[in-house]
Amino acid sequence: MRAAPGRPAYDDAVTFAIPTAPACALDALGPAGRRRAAAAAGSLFASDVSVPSPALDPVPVVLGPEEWGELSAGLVQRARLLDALHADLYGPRTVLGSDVAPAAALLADPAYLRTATSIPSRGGTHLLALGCTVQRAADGGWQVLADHTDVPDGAGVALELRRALSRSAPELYSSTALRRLHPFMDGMRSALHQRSRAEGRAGRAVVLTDSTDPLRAFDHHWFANLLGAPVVSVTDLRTGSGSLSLRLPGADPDPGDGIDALVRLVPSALLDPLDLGPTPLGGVTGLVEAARCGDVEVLNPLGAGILENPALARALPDLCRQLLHEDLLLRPAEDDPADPATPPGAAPPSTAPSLDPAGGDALVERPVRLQLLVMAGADGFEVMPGGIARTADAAPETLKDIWVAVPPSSSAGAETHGGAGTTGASGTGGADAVTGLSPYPAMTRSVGSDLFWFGRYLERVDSTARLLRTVLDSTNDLSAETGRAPHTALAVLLEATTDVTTTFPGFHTIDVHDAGAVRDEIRSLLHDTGRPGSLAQSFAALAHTTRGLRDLVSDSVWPSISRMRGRIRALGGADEPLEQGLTDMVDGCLALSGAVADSMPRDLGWDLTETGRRIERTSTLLALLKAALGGRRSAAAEARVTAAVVAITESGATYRRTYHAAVQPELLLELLIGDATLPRSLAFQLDRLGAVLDRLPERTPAVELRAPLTALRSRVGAWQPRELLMPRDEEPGSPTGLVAEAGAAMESVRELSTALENRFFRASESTSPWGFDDV
Amino acid sequence: MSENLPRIPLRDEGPDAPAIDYRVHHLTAYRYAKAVSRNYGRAHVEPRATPHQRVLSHEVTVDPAPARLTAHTDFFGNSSTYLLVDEPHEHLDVHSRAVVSVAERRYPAETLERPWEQCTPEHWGPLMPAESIDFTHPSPRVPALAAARELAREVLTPERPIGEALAALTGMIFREFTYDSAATTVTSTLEEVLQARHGVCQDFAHAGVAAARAAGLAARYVSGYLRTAPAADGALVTEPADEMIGSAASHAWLSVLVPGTGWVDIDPTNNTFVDQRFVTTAWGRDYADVPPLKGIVVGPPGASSTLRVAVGVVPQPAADRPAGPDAGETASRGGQGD
Repeated sequence: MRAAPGRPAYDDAVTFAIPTAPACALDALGPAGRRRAAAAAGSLFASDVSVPSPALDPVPVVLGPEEWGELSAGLVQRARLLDALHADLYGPRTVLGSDVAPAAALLADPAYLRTATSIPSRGGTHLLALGCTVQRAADGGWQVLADHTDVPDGAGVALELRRALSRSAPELYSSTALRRLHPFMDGMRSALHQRSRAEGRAGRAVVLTDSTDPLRAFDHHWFANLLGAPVVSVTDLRTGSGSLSLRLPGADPDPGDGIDALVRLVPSALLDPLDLGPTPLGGVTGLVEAARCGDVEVLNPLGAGILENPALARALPDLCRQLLHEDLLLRPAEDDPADPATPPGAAPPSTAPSLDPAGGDALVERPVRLQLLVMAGADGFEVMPGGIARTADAAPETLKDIWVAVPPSSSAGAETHGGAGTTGASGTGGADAVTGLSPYPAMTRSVGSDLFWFGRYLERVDSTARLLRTVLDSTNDLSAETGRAPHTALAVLLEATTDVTTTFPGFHTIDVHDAGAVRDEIRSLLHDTGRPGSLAQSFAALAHTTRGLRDLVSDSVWPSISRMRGRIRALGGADEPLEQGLTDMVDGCLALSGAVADSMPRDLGWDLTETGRRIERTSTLLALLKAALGGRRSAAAEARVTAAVVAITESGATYRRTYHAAVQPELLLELLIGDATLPRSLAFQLDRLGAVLDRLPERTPAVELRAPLTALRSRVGAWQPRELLMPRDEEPGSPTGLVAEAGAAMESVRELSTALENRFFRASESTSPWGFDDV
Repeated sequence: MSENLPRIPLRDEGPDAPAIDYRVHHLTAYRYAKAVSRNYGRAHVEPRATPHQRVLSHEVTVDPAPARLTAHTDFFGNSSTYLLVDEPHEHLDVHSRAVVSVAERRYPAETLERPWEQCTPEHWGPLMPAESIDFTHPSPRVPALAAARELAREVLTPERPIGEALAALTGMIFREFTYDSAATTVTSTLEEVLQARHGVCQDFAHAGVAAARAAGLAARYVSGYLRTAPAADGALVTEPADEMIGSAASHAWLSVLVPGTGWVDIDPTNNTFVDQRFVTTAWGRDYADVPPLKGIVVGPPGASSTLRVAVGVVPQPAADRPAGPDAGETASRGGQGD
């Protein structure tokens, strides 16, 4: 049954009809309900992925059991064939000598990596995964438009699409028994660990990605999560004699901690500067030889990109007969070899009922291509029962879910969505829990660095939002007052804002009487993403570091990040006061901080995040005290400045409980420096830093870490607020001892931070090629 | 064309000379100003067996002791050696020692009489390995260039016998290109080399390969050594410095596929067909496939190093054959800075 009549333009095309039950559910939703579901799914997707969502369409592409059987058999055969071809092209190369392979085209293809030959495979297959883009031809037969063998990604996005759509249209998803994606990925995870099993211990698999594109990075991180494998980047890996090991924060690799399977989502050619040529990523020197010697299995194997060669695709029918002694089930797309510009699939593509991109109420037929994934399971290749359907017409690309219906007689593996998927499942359940995963360190240098900076940026966003909120407040209040004191106080606070956010010259060169200039500068501090120290830039950096931490921090951080992104864009809009937006940003930081504190294991990762936060808070507080209280002013001005510092540091209640006197700089300093029970005091930060440093893994006592902290603690310990506030001379505004002392303390904080980074994250060595061009 | 063209070694010019045994010793020595922590290397230094060359023994030794020293047969059939030194070190010495027996190469006159046009793939016949087509394609260091087509047009005149054409190509590069190790390194692109008309042996070989491929012929880049004893005609560029380890470095030339006789090697640097003075180690599409020794060193930023390369290819009496490949030789003797 078709949910809507086809458009005349696609009358020749085959359509993916929608069965009765989901068709009824779609009717029940109605045009408005369908559009609402699409929008809701889009915002869920955007909030999970942290990128603007592509257009989503809740109307699924439904494949019946028979249709699916035919298609998946063809895809499995294709995977077997390409697997055999890979083995041959990087092994005996018998097909090159036969008449059926396009030898010249293969040899001329730069994807044929001649230095990656003679690399053994550990499992029953060479390929771990094969991505295929398919459509139905006019006669109903399946056609393959493209194979993706070098980096067959997209599974993470497919699962996210399912999650977002099933949550947004629960009635639609509960209408039909469809194959679930998670059991498939569970099977793949167990197969991967089986495959990487090493003698006497469970196998260690990692997923290698270096994608800077947020959607791909999301996809790769989720794929890794589903495979139960940590994400690493090339700088985290090091080959040695007999193993590929992870570089851990602060420690030299232990050769016993070898990686057995490297699932690479980075193009082959970028991976080994020794054997595959120079690479912008730096690569993993010696990886090709490590794979050849069997230290590690690289999946998909290095050089698998040759299998994407278009001439090879055309020769597959003959190669299938020669290598598998079978007829090829899925045809290649009929393109014109003489004209490579002809887009593949120029033949009428299959269409599917879809939301009308023009906004009409009725469903319309849109051409779609199906993006599917084949993976090597325990019993050979299997096709993921679902995927992404992409529209292929002039309207903007829209993503649709692919449903594989469960045969009516069977209920096994069926999932009737109750609205909530189980997609947040951690990667360590299932069969592996029984056999046990090896306790391999999940944290690499790059992740450790991200966690440290996550802590610093989280604190920076928080402190910048609090600071700007108070300054805005004061600007309104103080501008309304007349007299010298309010203006002096305002000038001090504005300059402190510049100092704390290190956005020089900032307010130091702006006349505080010039309300317009002040407003412009504040606006820039809020919105200018290109300006280091602005709220927008700090938030962008926070969101960026968070992306890399998908498998380490709680899932509940994404909605917070997403909300904050929305708020920061709207900051200062016409319809709401700026203060409210900043308060929402502070709330977002609190939510993030809570989500992290409530879900992160108390291991090295937590300690690094904590270190980052404490360092940032220490240096922010020092900068604020130095700028706000570093010069003596009239009592009236000082009272106003001090009140603002109380607000920024949230110390009002404590102050009032501790001192009965009105807010005085000296008493406030005493509190903010010495009260170790106050989470925003200097003493509190230094205590925490000391405790964390004691826990950090150290192979040798790191003097360069302890020295700055010891110096800092003894300096701060000796501070007497009364002396600190003593002006050097009698002139008003002359610097107090606090300026020099706080400056010196900030220097120690910087030293500590640099020492931490050098010790834990930075490669202290450089690599350089030699002999490549020697005569 | 009455210029000084190399003599084509033809089979019907009397009996073959006896094979010559060479003792080959190739040393690459790096000295680092500051200790480096790891060193990865890839070498193509093991002489390979060919119809004209037997490898009687071969050994690679690395000092300091390598954590890994492996070899496999690469895509082109060469022996490819991988080495990893995984401890701090201030020097790296890679010795390759071999004993090879090199026979004379001569070609049946009739095969070199066929016009060069009949040496392109469509004339190869069914028995030619399909992979030979690889050597007709442009490759990383030998892109398709108009200047190479120009070279080809100059020497590959219509219907010219392939033997004469190869002699002409060799002579033309020898004559028109200046051997100048100071002015260029292999980092120069082929385009620059063809423009400036000077370079080193690798550049000469690339120029020849480019011209042959521009005409549709299969041409490969060959890497190896020249004997370091004084040659009779004194034409060799790599002059011997010492009986033991002598001339500057490894050598390179090219080889062109002639159906009916196989690969014919020519050396434009020395204006000669490749003969018994040459020891072959490896071949590929161009230099990038078979650099004698390259690597990646991991160490303190900005560390500097010095390099010394020494090669000795010394004839030895066949009676000495059973002896070890390096009896009595030490790396430190002889050689000259490079």
